[in-house]
Amino acid sequence: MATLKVINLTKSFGNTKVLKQINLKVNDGEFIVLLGPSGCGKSTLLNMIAGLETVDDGEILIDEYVVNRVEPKDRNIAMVFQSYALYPAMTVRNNVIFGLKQRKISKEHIEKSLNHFSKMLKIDQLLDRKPAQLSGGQRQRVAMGRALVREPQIFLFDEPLSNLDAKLRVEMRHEINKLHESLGTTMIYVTHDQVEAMSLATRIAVMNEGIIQQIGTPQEIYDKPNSIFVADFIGSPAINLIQGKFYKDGTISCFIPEQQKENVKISLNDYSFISEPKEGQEIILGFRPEHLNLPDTSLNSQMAVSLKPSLIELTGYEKEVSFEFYGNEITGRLPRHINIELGKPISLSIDLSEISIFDKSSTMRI
Amino acid sequence: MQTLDFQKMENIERSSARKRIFYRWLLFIILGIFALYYLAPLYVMIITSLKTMEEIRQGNLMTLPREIIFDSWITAWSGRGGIDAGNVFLRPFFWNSLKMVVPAVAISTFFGALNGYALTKWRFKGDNIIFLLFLFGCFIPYQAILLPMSRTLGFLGISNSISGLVLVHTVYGLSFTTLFFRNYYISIPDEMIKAARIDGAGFFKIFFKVLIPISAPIAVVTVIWQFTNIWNDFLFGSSFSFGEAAPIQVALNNMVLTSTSVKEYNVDMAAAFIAGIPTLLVYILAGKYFIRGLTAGSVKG
Amino acid sequence: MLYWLQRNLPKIVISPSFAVIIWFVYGFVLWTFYVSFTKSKMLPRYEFWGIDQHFRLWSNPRWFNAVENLLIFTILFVLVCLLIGIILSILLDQKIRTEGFLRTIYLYPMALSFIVTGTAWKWILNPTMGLEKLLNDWGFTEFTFDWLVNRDMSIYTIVIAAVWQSSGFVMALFLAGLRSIDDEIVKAAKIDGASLYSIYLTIILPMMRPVFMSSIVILLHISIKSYDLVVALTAGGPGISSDMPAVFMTQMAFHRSEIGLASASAVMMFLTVLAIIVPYLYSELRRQDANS
Repeated sequence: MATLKVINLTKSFGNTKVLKQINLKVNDGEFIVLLGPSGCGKSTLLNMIAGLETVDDGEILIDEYVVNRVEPKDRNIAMVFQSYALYPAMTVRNNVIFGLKQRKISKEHIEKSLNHFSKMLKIDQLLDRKPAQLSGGQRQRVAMGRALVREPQIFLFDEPLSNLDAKLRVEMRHEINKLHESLGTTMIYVTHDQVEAMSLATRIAVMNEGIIQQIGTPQEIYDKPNSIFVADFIGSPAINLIQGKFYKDGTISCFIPEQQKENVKISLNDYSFISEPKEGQEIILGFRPEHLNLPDTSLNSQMAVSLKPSLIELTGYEKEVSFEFYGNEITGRLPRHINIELGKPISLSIDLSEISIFDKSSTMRI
Repeated sequence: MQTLDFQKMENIERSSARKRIFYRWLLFIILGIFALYYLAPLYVMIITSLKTMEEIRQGNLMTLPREIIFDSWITAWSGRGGIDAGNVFLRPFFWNSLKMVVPAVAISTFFGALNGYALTKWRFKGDNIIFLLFLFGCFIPYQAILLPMSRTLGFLGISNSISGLVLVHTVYGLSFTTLFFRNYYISIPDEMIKAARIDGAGFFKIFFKVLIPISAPIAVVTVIWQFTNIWNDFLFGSSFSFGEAAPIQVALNNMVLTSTSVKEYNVDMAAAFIAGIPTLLVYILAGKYFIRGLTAGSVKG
Repeated sequence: MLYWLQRNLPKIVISPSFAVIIWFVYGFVLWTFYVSFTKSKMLPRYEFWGIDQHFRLWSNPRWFNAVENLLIFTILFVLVCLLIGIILSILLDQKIRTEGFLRTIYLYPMALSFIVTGTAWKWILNPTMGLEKLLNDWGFTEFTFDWLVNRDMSIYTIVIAAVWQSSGFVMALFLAGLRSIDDEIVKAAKIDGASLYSIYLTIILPMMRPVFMSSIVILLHISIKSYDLVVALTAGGPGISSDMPAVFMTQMAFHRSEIGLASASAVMMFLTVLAIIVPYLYSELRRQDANS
């Protein structure tokens, strides 16, 4: 069990700054997911935590000890790689126990852990095979086994599921989730897949261009994204973003869409600003597709709109419908049983208790 | 479950930092020694060629020349003037080699490209067997074809001529050039050819307009490979030519062997260096492609 | 007609080259095979004479000597080249900045002809004025080095020069192999706690099996065909002490007017290469099929 602290971590490759002043604190037993698009620095950060990349500036602490100059093998971590990185010339058994043998662990103990974990991962039938004779899912399990037998203080995962097909990916995701439940070990997991991030993490750190944009529980990240980047990166279909201006008249504050012809105002009276914008400031209104839905009387703050569908896509359990909304294309997630037709107006409502407001120039939540 | 032992970790850190520096130095020393080992013969060759025979007798392999004299280079290149049996010099043979290399490389490369294209993009029954038969040509020991080749050249009336050597090198280069282009074209998506066919291009149009423009990398590799091999060839040169029609490697060997009364090591070294310059230049200018040819010519199939 | 032409264009295009290969490679090899069963001396004679030339070959002490030399040369050449090549490739793989430069130095002999190499080394190994004198001048006054003119040692001078020329090539092959290894495997091994030494020994080198295979096959191939270097360095001498099969063959063919005997020796060389190449190509092609 261990805590991890990253303080002002910086890393450059040549002239490219890959990480800019990263700060991160991971509590004992947490499952932290580093989420971001490719090239955002998440894998570099993980490699630095593992000790596989040197630190340019800043500190990494495991259990309050600065490990900047400690070799990977002495950090008491284990890592699962995207390509699984199994040793091709060794059998599954030797792959799994290789790390233990390097540490001169007693034979009985090695045998015991091998038995325990290979049963747990259902690879006990495969121990005498070579990696080339395994399927993708089996290789994945062996890679997990190799990390597990080490019983490390921290598990690191570098996109471990991205080489699996969709069905296996969900299956392995569940298993990793169960593993974390049962072991309670600190885990750090890198992915670009938001579904993985949402379903696994106790907290997600969303990264972009070498910076941690936001860190919080999956719910916080989803409901209260602190920037346009996070709002847009998380959620599928993507969040609806509408440009406009802030308008205030006495105690009434509202949002006026940019390209409106009539005098449309969206009330922001129920929105709790972090810092209230100035009159006329350019702001962006965001709301998720599921919050554009059929009118629901139980909601206490909503805005009725009448919109013409421009595109209807059935996903199976619902309909994703696109509308034109004052120069923006917005999407709503509607129940599949309702009858809608292209070009025929339909009455809907936007749930105003779930909206986010961003400043246009800083792109941050306000 | 282990936990981190801070005291122990500090010790590990300190000793591993020291170890790292030590190993780094050791690494560079060993690499440096090997570099000297590979460079030494070239160095000896050059400084020997710049000394007088007097200096050579007095000093040793490594002693630098007192003053740099290019006399032996001139002697090696254009002789001493005067016509006698021992006066062999490289200039005419250098041109011989050039006259042999250029057509042989050009023809074998062109047909290699064509064969590679036909074998990969227009698959037909038996194409793999044909390729295997080509491929095996890369490996045969040339001793097994030396005698019949010599008779054939005689029959064609081109023995002891540059054209004869061009023929030999073209024929036995075909296997390599076909292999290179075949392996390159096989990695180019078939969709490209399909698209061109749907657009109405035929066999040759696709070859010249679609494939040739993207073949630069492999063409460079092939040309360099063929150039180096043909320039450096001695077996064919010495078996099928003598006297005035010989290529430079044969002339170099004759020169070293037939020096008359006194051995002139400085001239030998200058001659060896001159014979090596073209391929060395190619290597220095296009080393990347040279290496690619070596590895492509080795990991075959 | 036009349709037929179009359909068969690829075959038509390849047929001239194919005919050339069939005639000049396979036809000629068959000719050599046949002539090795005739009484040919200075000119080929085509009456079948049985396997007498092969008997003559294998009862010829000079041929035995050449084969023995080839064995000594091959074993040393292959082993030393592999050793140097592997060591250099591993050292160069340690992320050093001067790698490109060093690689260029290690590999340049490969661009030189064996004749140039032989000429240079002939001078360096010169029994009085070469290495011997250098080391005498440096204070090792007892040092003598006369391998080039020593019947028992002359074959080793060929090994020295050949290793100098070809070991860089093995380095290049292994370096390419090392570079193709998934970086994550090395990372995984580091985290597993393996030292650099055991990473290479237990994980990486076992993964290099195909590279070992091709290196060995190429080195064997070079050594069986070695002719130029022997001619330039020792001319097979002193006497016939550094003779090799390839030299034997050309001697018999072009100087001794023993075309039948020369063909028999060429057949032996051909069969040896065949025995090495065919299994290699078979396994290579199978491996590639499995990969694709």
